[in-house]
Amino acid sequence: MAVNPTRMELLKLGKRFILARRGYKMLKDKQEEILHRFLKLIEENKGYRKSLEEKLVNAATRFLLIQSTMPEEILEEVLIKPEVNLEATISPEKVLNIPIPHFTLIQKGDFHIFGSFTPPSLNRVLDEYSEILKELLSLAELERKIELFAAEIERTRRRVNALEYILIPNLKETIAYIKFKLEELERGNLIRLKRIKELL
Amino acid sequence: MESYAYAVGKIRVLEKSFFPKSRLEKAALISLEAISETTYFREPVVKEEQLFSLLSNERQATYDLIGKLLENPSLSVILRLKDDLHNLKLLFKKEIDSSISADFSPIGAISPSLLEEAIHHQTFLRLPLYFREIARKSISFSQKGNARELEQFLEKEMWKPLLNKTREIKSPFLENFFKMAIDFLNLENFFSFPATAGEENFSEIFVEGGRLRKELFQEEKSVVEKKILLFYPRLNLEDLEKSTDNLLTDYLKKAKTYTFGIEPLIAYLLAKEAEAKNIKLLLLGKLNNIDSSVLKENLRETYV
Repeated sequence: MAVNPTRMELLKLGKRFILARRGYKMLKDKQEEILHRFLKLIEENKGYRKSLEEKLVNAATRFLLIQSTMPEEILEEVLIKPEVNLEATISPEKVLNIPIPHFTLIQKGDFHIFGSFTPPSLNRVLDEYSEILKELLSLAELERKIELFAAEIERTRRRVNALEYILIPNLKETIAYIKFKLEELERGNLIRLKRIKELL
Repeated sequence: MESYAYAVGKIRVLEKSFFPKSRLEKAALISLEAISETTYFREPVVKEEQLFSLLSNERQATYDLIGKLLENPSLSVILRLKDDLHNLKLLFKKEIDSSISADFSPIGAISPSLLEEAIHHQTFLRLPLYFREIARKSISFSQKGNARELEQFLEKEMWKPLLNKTREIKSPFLENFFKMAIDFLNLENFFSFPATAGEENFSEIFVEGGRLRKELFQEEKSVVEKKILLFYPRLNLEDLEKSTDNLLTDYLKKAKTYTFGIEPLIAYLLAKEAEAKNIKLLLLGKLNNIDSSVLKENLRETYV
């Protein structure tokens, strides 16, 4: 670092050094905590995704069995429900100071069909799909959380590394340099004083 | 009666091309290519869309054939009512949301353009007599903006002209068949109706005209189950949908004992629809790699 080797600068750098050490420790703790939560989220995601995929396959199989009992154009028409509205809202939440989006699904209207054209099991499959849709949103939320955590881990790691390998060693080196310079000055002064004393 | 001699003869020949259950069960175990080669369709099925269009063409061809063989054209029109009501429902849905791209059924007796014109200008004279009142009432439901009530109304309306026609042509066989179909529809709806909804809501979807009266469904579920089994002892309440389909096909088999008359023709048409379900199940299942045991389990009773 290009600095003037003065006591004032030494004092300033000393304070910066303490701050950098404290920041480093805090960031290191944060990094460990995020990593810990990240690994938990990965595990949770694995199980959640697997169970959701199974549910999707089951629902799709049941839907296919129902599909076979109806002419295609009639099935397509009964599934059109203009009076049913699905609305997804996003509200931000903060976890470890990371803004995480929270999805909520609001359904207006009922999509159940009780009619001469449709088997009642279609309602059960529609219920299943409705549940799956909610769970898909939860999965999207979870996966977004994982993405944001991963980005935060990367960012924190870069900060920790910058502190550990660049800023703190630089500060250490500069402080040592200023100390050395100041001691040098001190010694120069002392010798000057001794020489003056001899001359007098 | 005797004037149906040619028609019944023709139907008896066509019935020979029906797939027996054992053949379908075997087909469930073999590959898609092998099923395609068993010539239900004239070309092998490789895509879902192709299967849907082939089935739709087959359905249309059967309706056209029965339409030609029936001496009473109004009966042929009534049989196509389901598709007309579907087209009417779709028309209203397209009015609510113009982005809907679903297709009109080609089987309906009333052309979609005529239906559209009648609804737009509220002139019903060119529609068949039984359909005028349905169209008129539908418009009032649509103007109220209640799509759900409109759907329920149209689905209930399907049965009245069918029952009236069977009484008019004096066919107890067909009348009983449609009464059974109404009963099964009510039963399926009753058992799948959400427990949280009250009886009042169920009565809204109850279809009149069957043998089972509305009052029966106001009792406890266990009592209803017992009473239903008195009416239909062979019904399996555990697997109601399949069981009702099977009973209806079983009932249709009685048409084989009719030497002359309209019954074999209608039974052929309905049996053809039932067979199309089985074929669609097999091919759709194979196209989507569904397990053979699941397909076999879900196969319905066949006419032959």
